[in-house]
Amino acid sequence: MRTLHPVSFVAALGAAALLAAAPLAGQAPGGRELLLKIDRNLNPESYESYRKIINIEPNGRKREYTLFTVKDGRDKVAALFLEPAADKGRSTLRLGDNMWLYVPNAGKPVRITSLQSVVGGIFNNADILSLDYASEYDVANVEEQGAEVLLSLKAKSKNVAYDQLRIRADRKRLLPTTIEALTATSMLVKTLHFKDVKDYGQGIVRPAVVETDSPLYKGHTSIMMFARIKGRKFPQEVFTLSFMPNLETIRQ
Amino acid sequence: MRSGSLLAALTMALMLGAAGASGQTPSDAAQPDPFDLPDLRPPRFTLGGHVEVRPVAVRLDPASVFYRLRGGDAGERWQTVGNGQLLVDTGYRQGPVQAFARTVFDGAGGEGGWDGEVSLYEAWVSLKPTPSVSLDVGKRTMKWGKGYAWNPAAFLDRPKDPEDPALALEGVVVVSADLIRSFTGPLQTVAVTPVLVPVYDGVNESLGRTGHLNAGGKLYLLLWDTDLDVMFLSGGSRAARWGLDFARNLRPEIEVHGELAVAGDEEVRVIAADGRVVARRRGGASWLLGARYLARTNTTVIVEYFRRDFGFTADEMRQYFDAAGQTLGPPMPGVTPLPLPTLAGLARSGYADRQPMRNYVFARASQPDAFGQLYLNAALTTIYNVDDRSLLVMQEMQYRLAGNLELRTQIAGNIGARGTDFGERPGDARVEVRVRYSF
Repeated sequence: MRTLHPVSFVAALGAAALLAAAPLAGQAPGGRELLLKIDRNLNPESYESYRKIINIEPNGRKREYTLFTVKDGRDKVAALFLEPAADKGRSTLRLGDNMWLYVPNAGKPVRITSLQSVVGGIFNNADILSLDYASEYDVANVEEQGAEVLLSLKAKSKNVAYDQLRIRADRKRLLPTTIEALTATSMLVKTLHFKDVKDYGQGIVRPAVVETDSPLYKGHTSIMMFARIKGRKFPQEVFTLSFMPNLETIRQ
Repeated sequence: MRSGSLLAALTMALMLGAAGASGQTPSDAAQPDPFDLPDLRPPRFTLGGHVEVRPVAVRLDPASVFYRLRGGDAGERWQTVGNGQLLVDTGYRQGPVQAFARTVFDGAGGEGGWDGEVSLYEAWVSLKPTPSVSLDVGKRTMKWGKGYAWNPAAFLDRPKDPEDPALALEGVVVVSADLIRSFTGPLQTVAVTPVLVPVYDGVNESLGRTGHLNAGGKLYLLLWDTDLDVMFLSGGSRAARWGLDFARNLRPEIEVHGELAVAGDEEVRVIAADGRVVARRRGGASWLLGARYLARTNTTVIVEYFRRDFGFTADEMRQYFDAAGQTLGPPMPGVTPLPLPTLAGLARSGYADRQPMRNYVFARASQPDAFGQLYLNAALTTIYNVDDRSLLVMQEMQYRLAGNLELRTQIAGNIGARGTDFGERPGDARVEVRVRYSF
């Protein structure tokens, strides 16, 4: 009986390992696990929450919007405007790469894009209807920096709002402190600052405030505040075009 | 190791493991909210709407056929009208039952006096036992179709004004249901909407011949990231018709959409080449193809091509304007002009429609946060008649003064030679200011 030469055996093992790792090619080892944990620490996979978005102009004037948001699974998000009165009843829906805006007067949903903004200011639709980072980005690099870890992310497809993200996270809590959104040429689009870690109950401890600024909107600041994040499962029909005018009915 | 020390070490290890597993401190005690929340439980009764004032100045075209058909004063050059509107939405919700009414108070006035009317735009009751099932009865808008300026497949809706497509419209009385299912895979959503549409004296008279209970429906699919609808309507009030529409993002910044509506023959009264009014049976298709593009500058451009087989040809429009010129002008020997009421009736039956002819292009470019000013939207719109090369051009500015207060200005001009669609409109320019407060 022939036996395999030790060198050939090692080579065969190495080839098998490479083949097994092929799906993770381009991803930093351990990076995906870190990113998944960061996602789960920010939100349960399915939840409801209330948010307030505040756009602050250079002259100090503010515009505020209050939204009710629901998310289910990896790629379904819907948001309903509660305040101000001029926007009350508007809703947005995201199913994977598809996004729609429903305006009560227009009476039917229209397709929108992730780079537009239904509220104006620095936050765009991708920020308001955000999915898990792990579902849209691969982790290209992980760098330990003492009490923080820096993850460099690359978009999985051209449909994602930002080509690259750089997440700086607290190593112990695995919660982001800042996220930089960049273009393919590494030009900074905006920076998200995560602040005021708060206990929401049900084991959800996460930043209550996300503040963003952008070199493209000099002097402007936009703030997103989170309240009442609660794990909750929804019937799948909630995340359909036909249900958009009725989103208010699932508030409890 | 002594047993007591072992137990202490095990306990410490368990606690450290529990605390470190998620990096979080387990706690069920939520901290106070970072901002004042609105009522978490949605109110049983809701009240909302808007109040607006909308003065309009129209530069009249005294030589235009439609101005003269209205009996306008040849010496009048400008007409100013003050418009006001109060729109009130009232809603009620109790468990699976929901009721809604939209009442609109419109007032208009100028030098000739003031006028007002109250309209019930919508009033319906809905039963929604689950998110998948809904049964609705009453007067409502159905809003079928994917087009921005036009919706040939919107069989149950009043025509939109392409100069202001977002305006609230009066609904129709229907009994309808919505049955929705979601799936995983390429087919993500299926929704079926059967509809019954009564057309009787005092009910839905604008939808055609009275004395019929019409049936219709729509099937919606979200298939391969594409919105698809198939719809139909039949029953006797109008020729049976079916339609379909689609909308899809080709890329994140490019969306394409379209509609097709096919209807059976209907009678249309036209002025023939010999000047007589004749009835012609006309059927066929109306369709629309459009695209929406978001540029890097955040400018949104919408372009739509609209074709309607039912529309008048360029010759038929010209023959109408020629006949009107003969009626409204000095008598000519050997020519018997059409009576004025006949011309006015033909105008109402189609010639004076917003888009009476066959081929139109709509284009709109809008820029949010224009000129570096947050909440200032600027837009430029054109509606081009391909058949006679006349057009409308409109510039619009919209500014959110405060959370619920909005200011909008529109300046529009009709451009076209005599005997053309936009060239014979009663006014050749319009300036409008609208101040709207929402509550």
